[in-house]
Amino acid sequence: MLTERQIEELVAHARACRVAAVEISGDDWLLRLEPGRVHAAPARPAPPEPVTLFANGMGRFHPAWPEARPGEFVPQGQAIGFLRTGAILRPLRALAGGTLSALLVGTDELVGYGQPVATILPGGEPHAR
Amino acid sequence: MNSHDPVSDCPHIAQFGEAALVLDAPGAMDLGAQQRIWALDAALKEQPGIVETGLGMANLLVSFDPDLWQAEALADWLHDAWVRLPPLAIEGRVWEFPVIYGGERGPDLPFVATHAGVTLEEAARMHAARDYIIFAPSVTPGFGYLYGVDPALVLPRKKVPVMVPEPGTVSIGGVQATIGMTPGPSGWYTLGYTTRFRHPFDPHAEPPLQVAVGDRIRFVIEKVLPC
Amino acid sequence: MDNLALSMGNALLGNPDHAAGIEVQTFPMRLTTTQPHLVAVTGAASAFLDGTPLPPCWVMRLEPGQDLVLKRPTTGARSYITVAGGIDVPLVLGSRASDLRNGLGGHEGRDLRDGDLLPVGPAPHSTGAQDFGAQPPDETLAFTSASDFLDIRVVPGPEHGVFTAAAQAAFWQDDWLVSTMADRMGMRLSGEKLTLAQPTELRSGGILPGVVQVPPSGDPLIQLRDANSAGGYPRLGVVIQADMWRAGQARPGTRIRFHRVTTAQAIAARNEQRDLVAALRRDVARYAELPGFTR
Repeated sequence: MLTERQIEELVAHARACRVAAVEISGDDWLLRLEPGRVHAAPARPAPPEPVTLFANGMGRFHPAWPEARPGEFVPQGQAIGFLRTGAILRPLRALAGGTLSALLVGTDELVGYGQPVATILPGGEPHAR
Repeated sequence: MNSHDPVSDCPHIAQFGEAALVLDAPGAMDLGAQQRIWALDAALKEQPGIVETGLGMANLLVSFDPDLWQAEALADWLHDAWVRLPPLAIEGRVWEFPVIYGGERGPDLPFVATHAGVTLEEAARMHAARDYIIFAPSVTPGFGYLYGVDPALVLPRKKVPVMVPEPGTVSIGGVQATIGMTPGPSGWYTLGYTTRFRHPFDPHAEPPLQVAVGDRIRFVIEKVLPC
Repeated sequence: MDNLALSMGNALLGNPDHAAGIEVQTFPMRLTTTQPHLVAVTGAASAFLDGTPLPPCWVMRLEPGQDLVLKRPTTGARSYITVAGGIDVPLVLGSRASDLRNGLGGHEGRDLRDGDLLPVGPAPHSTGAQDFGAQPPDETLAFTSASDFLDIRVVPGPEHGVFTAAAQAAFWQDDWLVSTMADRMGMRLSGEKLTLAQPTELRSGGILPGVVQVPPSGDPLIQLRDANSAGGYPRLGVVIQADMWRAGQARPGTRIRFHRVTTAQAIAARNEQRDLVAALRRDVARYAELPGFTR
């Protein structure tokens, strides 16, 4: 069984010998290594990982309508919701710009420390309103 | 006025929002009624929970703190004080203003004289013969509401107000007299102007208003011009 | 005008209730600072800090080089900027308020202009909290306005009974339109002409903000914060103190409905509003510096 380390060494060796490709095959399998291929190939963008926002305190959740509905672009730093404690609201701010993909708690729901509250897909552009 | 007749001597008290009452003196508006309003005003200044008072012509607005007073209790207190308190006679200062009657700056003198059936000179003399007492502060800082127009010169106010441009204009409206402070439309009758106009209000002076309630304004005829 | 917004701003900052703030009714308005200051924006929501919209009723730290911009709000007429320590203009006749009619008080007795530099007083003891706020009062008070109306509670005034039955009914049941004759002194409403049952001559007397007077034209006039101190028109009603802030946010074209209440209901509403500001003041000290959220 090839370890990741051995594969990397094999690629480095092939590159040093200016070999375009290395193929190792068995009865019913084929492993093909092509150093440099990744840069030449059209990039297939990896889907961005959603970023989860967690409550760092306790309070009742209030979404920041209408600026932040799921599906809307939220710029970095904009409040997407609040934690209410007594009469005070503390903000949940988007740490990176992106599309608000989901709110994980309901309006006025009591949220505990560390509870996931929302997810944001980073990137994207603000659409014209 | 019989001040001990409990029916005719009863002031009218009404609620003015949740934190004020307004008291109207019974009977005619005159110096006697106003002195009782002044007495009430002075007594209220000693009462806790009274936020402020607004002196009017034979009436008084009383703002109170609803935490300290219930409206009914304050109305009872006002009724009682109205009957109990002696009138407050204020010996105010006398302020003299020389006046040029008639002419371009006294265009209503002929109308007022005709109404009274007298000459221009006699109308001016009737206006200058009486002292006018500051009954209450006016809306803009100035000489206030002046009471004491000769009954023969009392006219209802004009239906269509006329622009009165200059400060210092001397005019009458109903039983009240005034010295104009700021240019503006007025339904009063302009009799002339004072040659010694000085604004009585300076926010940085102490007191800011030179004149006070109870002071007397005396007009002195300097000249009567034909119109 | 919106006295509740000014009180909430001062409560959020730990200022005394009488600390002076800036009333903004001409937009856009841009504010910068020469020193870091804790600043609150209350009243009509309109604020952007370096381009990022701020929630309504919000406290932020404004640093030199940062831009606080108030844009024209979609609802309401006036926003309020308060600063920890208050706007430290000199006291004139015991007040820092601007009396524009007489050119007294405030900043040189006039409206603010481009380039004016305002002094700020010493800030009160602070928990160090910033970037927090409060729910707008119309979300938390028991009596709220419908979205396309301004609902205002009124107690009958001293001369309510001298109006015709039709005039009384129209006042309480009709919608009233705020006319273009509306400013800090008062607002004239248009609707049915209100008439007296018989001609009534009133002696001039003291009046207060909130009084609904009816001049001979028959169009009711509500005296607002810069009200005349005396007047002689019949007084049909008096807006309750707890709703003066709502009236202060009305702009021309707003439709108003009046709701008749008793003085006991008016006092209960006043107490509710006072409790709201007191709770805000208390909770700023308790909770504002707690952490909010993290990734």
